Order: sequence, then C-alpha cells, then structure tokens
Amino acid sequence: MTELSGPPAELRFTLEITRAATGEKEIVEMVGHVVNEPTEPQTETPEGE
Amino acid sequence: MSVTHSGDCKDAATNAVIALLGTNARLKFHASPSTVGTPGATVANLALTATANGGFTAASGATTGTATAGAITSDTAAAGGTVAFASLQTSGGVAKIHCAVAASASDINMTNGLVVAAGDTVACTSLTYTALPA
Repeated sequence: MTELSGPPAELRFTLEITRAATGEKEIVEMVGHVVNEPTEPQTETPEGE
Repeated sequence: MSVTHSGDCKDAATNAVIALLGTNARLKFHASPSTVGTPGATVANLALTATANGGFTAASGATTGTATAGAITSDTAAAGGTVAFASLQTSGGVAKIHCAVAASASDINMTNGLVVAAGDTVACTSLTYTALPA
C-alpha cells in the first residue's frame, strides 16, 4: 500500500510570563507539532484463555 | 512519499478543525504526561476570544492555511508547573488540538523546560494554527 504523508500540523505562539515573585516579565516563542500519539502496546492472549 | 496541498486545501483543513472549537474555547498548557484524550495537569488556562472557531480568524487567501487567534485573556494566577504540552479545548473541556511544545526562540533559559510558578501571570500575545503546513 502506498502511504502518503505530509508534515504535522503546527501551533505557534508567544507567551509572556510575569513572575509573581519578582514582577519580571519573560517572553518566549514556542512551537508545537501535532503528531500521532503512541498507542498502548497490544498484548496477545493465547487461545483457550 | 511526501504530500503537498494546494492553498485552498490548506485553508479548508485548518478551518474545519477550528470550527470544532466552537465558542468560548480555551488555550491550556499542561505538564507531562498528557494526551489528547487525557490532558495532563493544567499549568495555565487562558480564554480565547469567545466567538465561533475558537476565536480564530479563518484561514483564507489559499496560501499558507494559517488561522490566527483573536485576543486571548491572560491567566493571572496560573496553577503552575512545567509546560510540556498545549491544547486547544472546547468550552466543555474537550481537547481538539494537542501537541508537545518547545521553545522556537527565547530570551530565557529553557534547558529544563518552561517552568511557571503558581500565581504567575501567563499571557499569550500571538497564536496561530496551521493544519497542513505543506
């Protein structure tokens, strides 16, 4: 079977965090890629059980 | 085999996803572990613009397929934790978009992740979503 795939969906954002303790502001640009999450490993049950 | 989509396909995919966010959607940041079905502990919880499409302006122009969020209300008393994941959720708390996040450019040390202390104010000044980057 031929599998077609493209790059993952993307979320980009800029956060500004103001520290409660000091009042200082920190700025960070972040990126997230939406990818498939690993599935639980399948456990085989022997026949007859 | 890689895939490239036309601009109108990119717009359509992005707009179909943001439509599922509905009104009064939320942007949440989570500690690890976290999955789309079971998001991790909430580090910060921000309200998106309360309009349809999660407050995003729909992708248009048949170019990049990128939707841009409207104004986002800050969380002025974050629960705190280490930001490892982000999710966009419906008003009912159902995650529709979930991803691991990392710094793309930063003026702070991110070696140990982005740590938010309890009580910090977390603001999001820009947010875009692209369903099909290519």
